[in-house]
Amino acid sequence: MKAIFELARRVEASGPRQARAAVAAFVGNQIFPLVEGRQAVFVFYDGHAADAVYLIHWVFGLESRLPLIQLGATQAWYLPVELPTGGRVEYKYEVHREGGRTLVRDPLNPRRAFDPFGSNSVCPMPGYEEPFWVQPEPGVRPGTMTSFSIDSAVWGDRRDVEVWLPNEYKAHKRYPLLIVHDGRDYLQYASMRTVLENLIQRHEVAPLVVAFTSGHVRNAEYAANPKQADFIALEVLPALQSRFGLSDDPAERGLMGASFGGVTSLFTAWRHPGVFGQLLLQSGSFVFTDVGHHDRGPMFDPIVAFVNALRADPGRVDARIFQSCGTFESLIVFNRSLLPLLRDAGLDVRYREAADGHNWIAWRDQLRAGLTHLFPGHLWMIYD
Amino acid sequence: MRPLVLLGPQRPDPNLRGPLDEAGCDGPCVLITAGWRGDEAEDAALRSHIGRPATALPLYRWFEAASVDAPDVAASWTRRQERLRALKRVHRLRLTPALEAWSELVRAEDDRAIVDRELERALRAVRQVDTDLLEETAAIEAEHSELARPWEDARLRSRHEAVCEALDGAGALLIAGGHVGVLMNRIRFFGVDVAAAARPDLLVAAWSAGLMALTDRIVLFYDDPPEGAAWPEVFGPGLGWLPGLVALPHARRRLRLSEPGRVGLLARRFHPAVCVGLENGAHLVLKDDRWVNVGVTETAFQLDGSGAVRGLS
Repeated sequence: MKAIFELARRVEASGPRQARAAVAAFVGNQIFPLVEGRQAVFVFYDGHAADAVYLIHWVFGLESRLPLIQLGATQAWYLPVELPTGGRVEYKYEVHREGGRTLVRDPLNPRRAFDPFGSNSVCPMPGYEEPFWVQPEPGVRPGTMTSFSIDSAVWGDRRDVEVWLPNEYKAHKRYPLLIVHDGRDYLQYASMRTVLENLIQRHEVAPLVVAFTSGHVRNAEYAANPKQADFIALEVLPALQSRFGLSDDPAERGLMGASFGGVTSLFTAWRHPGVFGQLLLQSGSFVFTDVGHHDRGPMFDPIVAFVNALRADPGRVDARIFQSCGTFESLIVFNRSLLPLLRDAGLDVRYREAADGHNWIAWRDQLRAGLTHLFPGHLWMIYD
Repeated sequence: MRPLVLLGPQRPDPNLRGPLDEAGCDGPCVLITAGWRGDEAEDAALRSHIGRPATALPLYRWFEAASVDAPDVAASWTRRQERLRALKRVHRLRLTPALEAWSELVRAEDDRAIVDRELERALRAVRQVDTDLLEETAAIEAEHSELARPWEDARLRSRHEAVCEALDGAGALLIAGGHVGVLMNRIRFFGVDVAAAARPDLLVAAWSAGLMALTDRIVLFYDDPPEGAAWPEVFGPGLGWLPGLVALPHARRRLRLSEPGRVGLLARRFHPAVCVGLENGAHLVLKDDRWVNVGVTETAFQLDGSGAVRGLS
């Protein structure tokens, strides 16, 4: 904070040329956004004039489009924002120029987070550290990826399933199974293969088989759609059982997903009780209504109908649950609301929050807690 | 002390064969891989690496069979193990606060001399809790005197005799890693330790959990488990063939070696035993009463009471 105000004072006291030089020198010597304690100062500067600049972020509770302040008459803009320590914020700038507006990443910040829509700039607050287990660890024995296709009677088309097998996989043995929704995204944006290999090597997670599935018309399929639940329980599961050494115990069978993927995971366990005994639900879009209508658009109609039904009979879900959500998400309210309901119904639910948003890095960062809770290894006892 | 070959973890690159050659191992090897549990029989890579004839003692499989052959004995054994597990759960209720008291004192910014004296007392308290665990473990085992020599049961005797026969003609006993609790249990259930006592000259090579089993006190450790921090804890007595050493395989991965406070506490907690970290490639030998690593450099190190990590070379 001090640094930006000091720069503002200097700019104000200088002529245009010195002010430009001061800004250029300043941006060359700092890490952006400027962060001190709970204060982050977002600075936009790309060496060109702009009419206005806005901070676009996804922090629930803050206005989603915050105007930056021009630094004197220079081409630099800034905005101080208070954010929680340990937090992590993804953002872009909306730059207004010559009557148009463009969304850009922060040209002063090389840190990026990727998702299916591209990438965002990242502002990690003090206390946030990238987990050590998301990068390949030396000496880790890699698993293998294989794939097969299903001619789905439920969907009337052909669907691919990618399957990750642990390094120690042997066909004659029986392993726990985890079926992942948005599987390709978990692999690409949440480093899930690396995470699995690291955590299994460390014996934090028991060796298991992981099936990665992906939707074709994803949102419609994952919005508490009975066809998707039947596809997973009646087509994907038997196909996996016929191809791989899998445990017959439902307690060793799990579903996971994020956002709508969390919804379809929970919905599948609801529609087919006793089939999947472990659920890893990340930022589930568990929107419900007490009275009246929701304001999330028609895509949420089946979800709201499902969650309302679930709230009336939560005990129908027969599974252990790991549930997580980011405190920067509007969904935090729904996730927090669901928790006591599930627990009061006697379900074993472990719940975690992080000061992060609705994004793949946030979901990656909770994988260790979720996987070790649902599929714990013998880390304390095994020394191999 | 019996002749020992003490090694770091054997994955991904085993280094067992060279030390066996150097030790003059000229007879067949006897393999114990019970720590691998369900994978016990999958020893082809190990056999191939050592390049010698080898006989496996399938202790894990034998124990499974004992549940059928002598179900009452196996059930009693399991009940005793459950009591020992309960002891550890309860014991942790005293151990954790004792260690946290020490940890709080380290951070205290009061009069240094006063804090230092309290730190000494806190350390003594931790050591006492450790000692208590070993004593209580022995007490529970004494309460189950009928299980002191389970292999003497007529239905299990043939297994013990097979162990004796294998060791009798062996050039070396190789004990692999894996689940240290399972390994120790199976070794004791079939009296491998007793059979080996009849061969004090028998070379024993061990690594990972196998090496931990040779010591007189097995210490479990993993500083950064998924749910918060954890403190090393005594599991129980080992075979005692390698007294005075606390074996810490994969210490770099499992311990916060960059935190001198934790390193120093671990070293002082088990003093006069020496805490030694071993990585893949290590080969420890005792020279002039000092542990020396004659394997790959920087793969073995000693934890110092000062908090330093000192390479063994």
